[in-house]
Amino acid sequence: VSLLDWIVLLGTLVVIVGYGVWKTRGTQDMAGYLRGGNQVKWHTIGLSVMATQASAITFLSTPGQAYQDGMRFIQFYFGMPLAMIVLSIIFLPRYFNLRVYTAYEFLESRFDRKTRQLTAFLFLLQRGLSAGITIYAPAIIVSSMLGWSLRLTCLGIGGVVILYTVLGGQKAVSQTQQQQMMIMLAGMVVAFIVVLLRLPPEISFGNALHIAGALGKLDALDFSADPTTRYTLWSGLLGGFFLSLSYFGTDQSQVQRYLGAQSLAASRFGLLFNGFLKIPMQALILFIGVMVFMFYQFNAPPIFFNQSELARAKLTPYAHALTSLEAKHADAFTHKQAELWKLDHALDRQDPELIATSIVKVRAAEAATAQVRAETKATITRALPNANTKDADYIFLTFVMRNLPRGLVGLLLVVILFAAMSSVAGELSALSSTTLVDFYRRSFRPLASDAHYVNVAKFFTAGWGILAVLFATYASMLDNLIQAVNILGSLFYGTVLGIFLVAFSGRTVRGTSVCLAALVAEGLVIALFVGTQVSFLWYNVIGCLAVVIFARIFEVFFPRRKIAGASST
Amino acid sequence: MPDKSKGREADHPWNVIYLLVAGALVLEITAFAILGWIYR
Repeated sequence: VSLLDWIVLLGTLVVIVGYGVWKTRGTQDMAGYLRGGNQVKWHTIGLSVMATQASAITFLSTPGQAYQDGMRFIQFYFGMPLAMIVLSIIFLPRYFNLRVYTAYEFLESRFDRKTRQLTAFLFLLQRGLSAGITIYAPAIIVSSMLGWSLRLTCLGIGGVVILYTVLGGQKAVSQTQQQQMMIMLAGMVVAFIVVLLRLPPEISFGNALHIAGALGKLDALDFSADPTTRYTLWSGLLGGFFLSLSYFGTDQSQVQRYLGAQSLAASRFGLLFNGFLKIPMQALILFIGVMVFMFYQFNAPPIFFNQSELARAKLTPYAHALTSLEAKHADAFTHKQAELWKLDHALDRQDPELIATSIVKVRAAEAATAQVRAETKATITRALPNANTKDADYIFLTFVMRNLPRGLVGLLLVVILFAAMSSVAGELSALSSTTLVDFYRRSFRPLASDAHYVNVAKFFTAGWGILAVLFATYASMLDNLIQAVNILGSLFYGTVLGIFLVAFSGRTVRGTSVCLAALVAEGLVIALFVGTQVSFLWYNVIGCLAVVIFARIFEVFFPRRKIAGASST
Repeated sequence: MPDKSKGREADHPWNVIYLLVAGALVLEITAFAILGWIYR
C-alpha cells in the first residue's frame, strides 16, 4: 500500500465519517435518535438499505465465487424484487400505522409480550453473532494480505463504527451509509473498468465472453429441481423470496432503515429502488469476478490465493512438495494458454468445427490446472491440518493489490472498509433499539424521560459494538464466509417470518399457539440443517410454512379461555 | 399531527410501479438465460 493509497483511504474515511457526525450532531430525543426524526428521504433509505445488506463479504467473496463457480450465485437474489413488492403492500402500511420503533413492537399489538420478546430475542441472538462476523470476515482477509494486525483491524473497523453510531444514532447511520454506498458503487465501476483494460489487447471482449462461457462461467441459470443444489432458479425465486421477505420485513437492522422515512411512500420507494437495482449490482460484481478469471487465464495466477497460508505451509516439511506443485501449475498454465490462443484464433475465423475442438482442449487444460490446485490444497491441509483451504475470498483482493494503479488500491480498500462499516452500523443501531425498546423500556423502565432513553440507547450501542469487536477478535476460521453468514441467518429467518405472517393474517391465532409453533418450526429447521443436505435457502420456506401450519393446529388444541389480545395492552 | 403521507400515497400509481419492478425481474432472468445460451 503506497502513501497515495493511505491518503485516499484515510482521507475518504475521515471526510465521510466526520461529515456524518457533524451533520447529525445534537440529536436528543428518542424519535430522532432511533428513527432519524422521520425525515429520511427515499433515496437515502434506498442507499442505506443497500449499504446495510452489502457487507464487505459481498465485495470480497462474490467476485471470488464467480471466479470459481461462475455467475450462478445471482439466482440467490431473484426472489428479492418480488419480496420488496409484497413488503410494500403488506408490511409497510402496518408498521407505519402504528408508528413502531421496532418490527417486534408490532407483534405485541397483535399477540402478546412473550411473542414480541421471543422474536426480538431471536433477532438479538442472530444479529449479535453476525455483527462479529461482519467485522471479522473482512478483517482476516485484509489483515493477512496487507500484513496488518488482525486485532487492530477489527478494533479499527469496530471503533470507528461505534464512534459515529453512538454519537449520531440512526441519523448518522443513514447519512454515512448513503455516502458510503455511493463510494462503493463508484469503486466497483472503477474495478470493472480496470479489469477490462488489463485483459490482453489481442483478445476482443466478445472472444473473452466466449472463452468464459466455454469454461462455464456465464451459466447463470440452473433449472435443476434437486433440493440439495444450493443455487437454482427455484431456490432463488422461492427460497430467496422468503429470505428477502424475512430479512427486509422482520430483521430490525433493515426495518430500522425505512421506519425513519418521512412518509410511507418514501419507504416504499426506498425498498423498490433496491428491488430494482440489486440484481444488476450483484451481476456487475459477479461479472467482475468472471473478468478477473479471464485476466488470470492470460496472466499466471498464484497457485493458491491465500498467500500467507501458503507461506506458512512452506515452512513445514511439505515445502518441497509445494514447490514442485508450483512448477507443475506453471507448466499447466503455459499449456492452457497455448490452447486458449488457439481457441481465440478459431473464434476470429468463426470456424465452428475448430471452435468445438478447441473448446474441448481448453476445458481439458482448465481441468488439469484445477487438478494441480486441488493437489496443492490437499498438500496444504497435510502440512497445516487447521488451514483454511478455501481461497475464493482472497482472489479479488489479490487482483486489486497486484494490478490496480496507486490510489485506486486505496479506493478499493475504502470500498471494503465502508462495506463492513455500513453493515455493522446498521446492525449495532438495530441491536441497540431492540434491546432498548423491546426489553429495557418494555420490561424494566417503562416511564423514563426521552433523554434517559437516548443515553441508554448510546450505552447499548457501545455495548453491542464492544461485544461484536470481541467476538470478531476471537472468532475461529469459518468455512466460506458469505455462506456461513447466510446459513446462520437462514436458521432463524423462516421461523420469524412465519410469526409475522400469522400476525398479518387476521386475529384467529393467539400468542401461545404461535410461540409453540415457532419452537416446533425452529426444531424442524435445525433438524434439517443437522440431518439432511437440503440447501439452506429452502429453510426459509419450510420454517415459515411450519409456523403458519402449526400455529393453526395448536389453536385448535388450546381452548380459548379469554378474549384474544387482552394481555397485549 | 396531520399525516401528509396519506395524501401523497394516492399520487403514486403503485400498481404500475410494482409491475415495473416485477417486469424488470422477468427481463433480467431472460437476459441471463440468453447470455448463458449464447456463450455456452
